[in-house]
Amino acid sequence: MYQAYIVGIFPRNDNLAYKWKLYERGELGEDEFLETLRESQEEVIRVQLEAGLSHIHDPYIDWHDIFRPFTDLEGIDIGPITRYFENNTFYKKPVIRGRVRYPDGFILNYLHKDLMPRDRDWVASLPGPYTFLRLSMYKNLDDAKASINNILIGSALDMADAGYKVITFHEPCLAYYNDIDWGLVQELYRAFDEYGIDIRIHLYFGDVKNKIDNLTNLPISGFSLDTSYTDITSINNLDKNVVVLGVLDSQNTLIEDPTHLIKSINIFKDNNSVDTIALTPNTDLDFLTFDYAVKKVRLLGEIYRRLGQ
Amino acid sequence: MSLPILPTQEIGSFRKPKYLIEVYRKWLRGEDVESELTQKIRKASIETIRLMEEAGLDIVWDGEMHRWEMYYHPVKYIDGIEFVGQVRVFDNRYFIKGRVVSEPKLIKNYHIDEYLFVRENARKPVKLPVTGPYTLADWSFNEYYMGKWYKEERDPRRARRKAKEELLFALSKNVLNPILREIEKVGVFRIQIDEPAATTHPDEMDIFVEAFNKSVEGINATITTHICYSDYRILLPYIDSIKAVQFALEFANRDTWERGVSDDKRIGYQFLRELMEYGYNGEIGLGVVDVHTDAIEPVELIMDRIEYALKYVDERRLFINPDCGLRTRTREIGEAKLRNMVEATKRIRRKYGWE
Repeated sequence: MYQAYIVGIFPRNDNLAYKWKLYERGELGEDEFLETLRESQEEVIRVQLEAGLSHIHDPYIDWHDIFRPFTDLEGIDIGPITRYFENNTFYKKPVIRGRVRYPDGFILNYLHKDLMPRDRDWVASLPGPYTFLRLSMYKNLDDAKASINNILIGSALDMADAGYKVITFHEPCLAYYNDIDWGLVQELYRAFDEYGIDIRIHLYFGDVKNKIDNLTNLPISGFSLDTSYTDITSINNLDKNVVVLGVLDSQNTLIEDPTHLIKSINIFKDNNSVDTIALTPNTDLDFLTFDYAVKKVRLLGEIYRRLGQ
Repeated sequence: MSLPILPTQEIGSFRKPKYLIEVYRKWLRGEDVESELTQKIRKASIETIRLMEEAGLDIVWDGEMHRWEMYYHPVKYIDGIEFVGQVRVFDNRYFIKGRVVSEPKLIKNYHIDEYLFVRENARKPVKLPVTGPYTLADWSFNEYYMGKWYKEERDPRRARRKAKEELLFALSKNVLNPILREIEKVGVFRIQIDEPAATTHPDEMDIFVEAFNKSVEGINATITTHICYSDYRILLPYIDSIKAVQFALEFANRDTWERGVSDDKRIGYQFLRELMEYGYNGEIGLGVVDVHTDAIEPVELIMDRIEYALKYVDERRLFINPDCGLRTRTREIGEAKLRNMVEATKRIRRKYGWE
């Protein structure tokens, strides 16, 4: 079975980015700003629906970066501006002070359930616990681990209760770095065990071919392969409920040849035992312009359609 | 041209005055404002040169008034890269990004006129900042070369590297080197190759160095470089092979605001120790003020940062500058930061009898 959806933050359209600037400068009223934001959020959902994706991702155009909502929590401050891996994109480091609690319903303030369509399943993204920990600043590791687990378990439970069927944890650090303490990763994910949360982890910015044993041992339902780093035709004998294939490059405007991609996906399917193959872009589409992000969503829909035929 | 001990310099960009931004916006929208734009650029350029001189900098530039932005400006004059729209850098800050659609070729030397203008109007030595080939390549969507390689090469990483390498070398050979050769002919004090993307891809350091060196091949002028917001340790194995006499680096953004010259207070400057242990003996441009905060660093804090650096870098090899271009701040805040930076440097010179 195939699924198709996008992950993470979607780029703002030019009009929203412009109005956001005006609003920040006090040159635009809140009502007009919120109206533009809402129209833009509806547009992001419409683009996904029109492309025929199986699951619709919450718009995520009001998130400055994947960690930012959590800096509104008591005990997490906004830290220095920091390069996001190898990109000309920056995030602000979360600074974790002490043991942070998660107030019930907190994450729902940053989601837009009211805009989501009733006739499709929903997807939402969260930073994965390992990436959250590794990219944050803190003084006490135990407090930081406990804080992150409080926050992410609370958020994931709230998301699931609100009707988000797929929760994708962004774990670029697991793909990018080679010095990973897999014991720590296990510990972080084991904390989710008792809550029955269906976790898919999204991996990008690195080849995970040599980490597949570690990944399959994690208590998660699925993980992704970034085809911009991993040759999926060389992966064999993978036995997993869900594998997510990041088949579109979110960092290049080059529009991939769908026939070429479908051929690779079919080779992967034939060589592995996977119940569900979810097709996604390799990362957030936020690295592209809005127009190119839309083109990629349409291409994703086309590939999904052709594979289903 | 002789410089004092601990010469002070700007990195490059400075906030444009409102009157100039307004005309630039019209120009970006395609309105016919070319002559008004030229006039306003010249006015803003002279005002900014004076501001830098009056702030007391020893080496000046005009804050890049002739350029809308460090990527946009060169790309406008490169055939083979087309603008596709704005891409987020952080929060709600964007840059207009291009896609490579054919082999890049220089349309016209986009620095010669501005350089001659600034040199003619400056009363102090001038440093010309030039966006480097690696940053131009890295900040572009590499469609053309990736399109050539992604089907042929099964390993996607190898495909990306080959595509990047071809783009980089084309930019060095067809764009950067011809520009620098022409500028050298008219005489230039210092050229700073801006490579903020340089250390962002550790696996590509070898091709970064090769492209950098190809860009400055045959140039006898003093070449420096500026790199920021990345892990500088990646530079170490290559630092001697890069044909630049100075590395101007961002440090203040990663430092504390606590007073003192101990390691735990000056955590942002720890790379200096590694650099000197490695045996680097070139110049360092020391970033002492953060361009991402409106808070103005007190003179005493800047003095601490300089004194800490002096533990590792000989005073004859240390230049003092902001972390990066100050275009992120208002002109008033930018100027206040520069003035404090100059004052701190003067006090250090006095303290050590280097005046």
